[in-house]
This record gives sequence, C-alpha cells and structure tokens, in this order.
Amino acid sequence: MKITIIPVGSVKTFMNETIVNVPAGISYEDILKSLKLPKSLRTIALVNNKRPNAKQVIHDGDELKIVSLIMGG
Amino acid sequence: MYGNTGEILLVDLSSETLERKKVPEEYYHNYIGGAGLAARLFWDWGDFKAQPLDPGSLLIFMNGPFAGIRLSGCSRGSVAGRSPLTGHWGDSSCGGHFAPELRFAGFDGIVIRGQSHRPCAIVIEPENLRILPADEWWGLGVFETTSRIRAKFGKRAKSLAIGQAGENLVDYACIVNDNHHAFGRAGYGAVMGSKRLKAIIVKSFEQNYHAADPEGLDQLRRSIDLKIRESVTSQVLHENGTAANLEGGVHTGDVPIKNFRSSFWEEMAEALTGSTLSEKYLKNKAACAFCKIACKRVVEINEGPFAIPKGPGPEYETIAAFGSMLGSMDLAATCKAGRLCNDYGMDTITAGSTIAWAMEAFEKSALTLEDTNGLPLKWGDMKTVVDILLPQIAFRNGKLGGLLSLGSHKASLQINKGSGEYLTTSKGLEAPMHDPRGGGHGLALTYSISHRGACHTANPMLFMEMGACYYPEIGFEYELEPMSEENKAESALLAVQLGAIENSSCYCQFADREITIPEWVDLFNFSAGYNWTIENMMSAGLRVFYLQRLLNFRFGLTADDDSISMRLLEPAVDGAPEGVPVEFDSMKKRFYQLARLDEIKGIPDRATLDSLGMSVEASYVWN
Repeated sequence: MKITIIPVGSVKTFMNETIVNVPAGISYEDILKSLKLPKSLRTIALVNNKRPNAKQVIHDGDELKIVSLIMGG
Repeated sequence: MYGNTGEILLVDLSSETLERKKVPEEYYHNYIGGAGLAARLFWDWGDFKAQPLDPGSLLIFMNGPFAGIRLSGCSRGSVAGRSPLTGHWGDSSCGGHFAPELRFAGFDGIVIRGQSHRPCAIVIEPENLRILPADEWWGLGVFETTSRIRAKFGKRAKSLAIGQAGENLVDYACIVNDNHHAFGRAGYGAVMGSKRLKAIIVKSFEQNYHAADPEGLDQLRRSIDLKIRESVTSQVLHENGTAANLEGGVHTGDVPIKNFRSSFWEEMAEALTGSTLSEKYLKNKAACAFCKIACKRVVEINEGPFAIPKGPGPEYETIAAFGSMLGSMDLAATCKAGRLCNDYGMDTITAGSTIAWAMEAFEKSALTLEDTNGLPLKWGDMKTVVDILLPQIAFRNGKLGGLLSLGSHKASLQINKGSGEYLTTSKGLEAPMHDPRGGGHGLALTYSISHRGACHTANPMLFMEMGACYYPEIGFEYELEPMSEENKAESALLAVQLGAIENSSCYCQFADREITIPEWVDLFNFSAGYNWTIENMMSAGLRVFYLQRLLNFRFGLTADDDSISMRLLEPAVDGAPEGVPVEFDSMKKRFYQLARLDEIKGIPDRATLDSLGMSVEASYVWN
C-alpha cells in the first residue's frame, strides 16, 4: 500500500516529502524508525493530522506527518 | 569571592546617591544569583506596602554567577520587583550584552529606589558612578535614545533604555538593551518610567572574570560550547531563529490562533515560520555576548505598508503574538509590529494578547464602537494594529489606548460584560505563545504555579514535555506524552527547581539544554566556588521557588491564584489536540502534595521551610 510521508518544520532539513510503499499492517512507529532521523531531533507523528495511538496501524492512502519539536521562545 | 564580585550598586534616585554595598556571601550559596538573589534582597529591603509605581518600590537588576564567562547562553540578566502589570512579585530576563559588562564593571547587580525629580540616567564606569540629567532623551524612542547614548559614551558602552511606553507608564512597558534585547515581561519599563529613569549605561575597561578554578572552568567551557555549537537544535536556531519550528508547532497545536480559539491553520504555518522569515527578510544573524548559536534576526523590508529599515527582527513570540493570535499571516506586519514595540519599549506578548482579547471582545460586543472611538477591531487587520493601536497604547492616547495599556486582565475588569471569558492569563500575566492543550498539558500546570504568572521561561517544562531534556541524576528519565497528565506533576516539581536554577544563574534556555546535571554543578563550582553537590544545587533551586511564593503570599496571593484562564483548558476545537481535555485540577492537586504546599495558603509548610534553612522566613507566614 502507498502512504505519503510529509516532513514538517525542521524535519525538512533531513528529508523530503515522499510517497512510499509499505507493507500492510505496519505501525507508524516502525515507519518512523526506518527513516533514521538524527536521534537528537525529537519528533512526533501525526496520521491524517491527528495524534495516533501507540501502535496505530497505517492504512493505504494515509498521510504521515513527521513534526519536529524544537519550539521557540 | 569568585565569579560574583560580591558587590551591588545601591541607587536612591530621590536623594541622588549611589553606594557600593556588599552582599552576604551565604546569600549567593542559598539563592544563587539573578532572580533568586533579587527575591532575597527584596525580602530584606523591600517595602511590601509600596505600589509598583510608587517611589518606594524597588527595581532590582541582578546578574547570575556566570555573566562574563565566554560561554554560549550565559550572558543573560534578571530584573525583578513588584510588577505593575500583575501587582505581585515578578521578574524578567534579558540576553544581550548588559549583564557581562556590569560584571566587568565590578557589580553583580543594581538596586534602585526613589524617584528622580527630573529625567535621569545612571552611568556606571569603574570609579566613576554618577546620575546624569536625561531631559534631552525624555520623549524619545529606544532606538534614538540608544543612538545618542552611543554618541555620548562610545560604541563599547552597553545600555538599558525605556521608550515612550515606559515614560507613559504602560503596564507592560519593557526595558531594552542595545535596541535588540528586552526585559520583556511584567512591566518593569513602567517602573523605570515612574522613577524618571530613562537609561542605565555601563562601560568597563577590561573583561576580567575571577573564576574559582580557572583551568577547570576553561576546559568545561570549551567542552560545553562545542556541544552547544554542534547540536541540531542550535543549528536550527542559527539558521532560522527562534521561529524555526513555528510550522511544526502549528501541526502539534502549540501555536495559538485567534486568541487561542483555534489550534490549526496550515496556510499560516508556512507563511510565518522561521525559514520564510530567512528567505524573505533576513539580512544578518546576531548574537548575545559570547554566544555561538546566534538565534537573533536582523531584518529589512523594502516595500509595502510594513516596510522597515534594516534592524532588529522578531522572535517566535512576537511573530505568533502579532500573527496567528490576531488572525493574520502577514509576516511583514509582525516584523513592523515587533520593531515598533522595541522602539516604544513594550512587551510584544502582552501587547499582541491584549489586542487579541480586544478583537474578540469587539466581535462579541463587549467592546463597542463607542469604546473604540469609532474604530472597528477586526481579526487580521494589521494596518489598524500597526498604524493606530500600538501608537495609541504606547502614548496612552484616547479611551481605547488607555484601556489597552492596562493589559488584558485589568482591561477586562474595567469593562466587564463577560470579557473575562476571553482572557488567556494566569495571575494577570498573558500566556506566551505556547498553547498547553497542544504544546503540553504540563504547561497549564507550570503556567499556573509560576510566581510571575503564565510564563514559559519560568521553568523548562516546555522542553521537558517535548523530550529535549534527560536528567537521570535527578530522576527525570520520563519520555512525556505532551497531551496527557501522566507524570506531569512529578516533572513539574523538578522543572520549578531547574527553572529557579536557570533564572538565578541567568542561563539561556535554548543553550542550556545541552548541559548535563553534573556539568551544571561543575559550572557553579569552577566559576563561583559554591562547592555544591547535585543535592545542594537542587535545594538552592527549591529554596528560590519557595521564597518567590512567600513573597507573593505577603502580597496577598494564595492557592486560589494558582489558576489559569478557562480558555487554555477547554478542549480544542480543531487540530491535533481537538477534543482532548486538560486534567488541570488533578495535576495541581498532585503537585501541591509533592511540593508540600498548603492547599489554602499556597506556601510550603513550616517543616519544609525549616529543612531548607528558611525558619526565619517561615515565621513571617506561619504565625
């Protein structure tokens, strides 16, 4: 199945928006691990603009946003 | 004494006297410096009956022990006193170049009381301390004042100045260092204005810092600086400033929109984010003294209604306060609004939030055309904000300018009509541009328990919730889920101690994320010779946190004041935090238990104060 991975904010420095083929039943956490972003870059994921459950399974056509958590002051 | 000089400058503007005064050495060990030491000095010398703008009020500038070390992030200073905006104890911090220069000139701080009979400036040069008339600067903005100071004292002189907002006693007037750095929050510019103190100028001859262990400090300083320079966060901040991740914040629901009524606006995210600022208007990057991050922006806008010459650019808070909060995605307008606030000397967070409150009040008819002198207040109308509202506020012109110069909390009390529902405050201070519902539920707790009111820099809770901290030596090993109450009270108890340490040592919250707990202890020991253990350091942080609460208790605050506007707690209507409730009451209850705070008085019990060596202080509040 195909999903779209969209980097948001500072994550754009490390990856581009991409459409990828992933196996059915994969969790968003497994996809995050496969991206190999720098460990020091704290991120959270949004699936279709909502916070997913811990082991939420991804479906065909889903939009996975990877959002960095470096906040201004 | 090491690190600290052990001396402050005591100034009485009524009698025009300046006096060098020694500070007891144990005060540094017990209260660290900066915000903590300022609280201690007020406890000893302050007049609790004096209103913030009375001649008898104290205005206290205080360095931390690290000011003057050539290390990224440690060139900040604190100002403290009774806040004209909130009426109770508060403080504000500022980066830039003033704090190290004050240290090099031989002082840890300046304590000012009294009221000058004419506009004046304090001049601090080694062996040449004086008060000068400043009539010719009165009425000028910060930029022109700073320019004249440089012309008179040379470019190496560092200054603090107020603009017209401070002179006109706007309740959220700020104090600006070298045009670009501000003691922004809680209105201390108005306290300077009330004392007719236009500026403070400091100029040293040599940059000496007397460390307890110069070799150890030099080694530690180089190692920490390298970590700071190489961290991803620093690189991102260097490239795109403190608004670097505004776009990310919009997606998590951290960035407030239209007075915290919405939590998601995708189109605005890219329009206002730091990389867009870099692409469109950035001319240079600038830094505080000795800082390798250089997150400050220098911008120029060549055309359009918000054109501005090359000069200081906006921080994240300013961009959000004059952008998303007002329903605008006009980045140029945020730059112009921020520039005006720098020149008038006004806090951009309270200014933007107060205008957002007024826009909602107008929309809901709590403010009418009669109140606004015929001026409609509409979301996104930045021409009105920039050309009319900000000047009216700074000069307290007309009914509307006068009302909005009070800040949203007091303005709401003045007009009533249900407008309290549109507030976004705690203890009378407008919340910063981090929405607890998306940014992290722990923020709702730490906003409410902060001594100065809703504040994201009183402690590092924001960073702890986003996973930017890991302190196993003190038990902070949590990976927190921002949108949950789990472990938030426990984390907040560590956060208030760490926040007191940060704000008393006057360390930048962006830079110090790379510093481990053992390195913190070494920094204090190698620089100031405190000979601390981790436990000593954390106890000092807790002592400062408690003393600030005792001060507020003596100003009349109780546990009920540890509250926050409902707007910041009610479930979000859109975006990532949509529908998720913030369990505020249970977090607060748990925090009170962990911090041993009395559930009525809001202060620690007597035994806890005794255990921290605060028995004398306890006797003032537990009779």
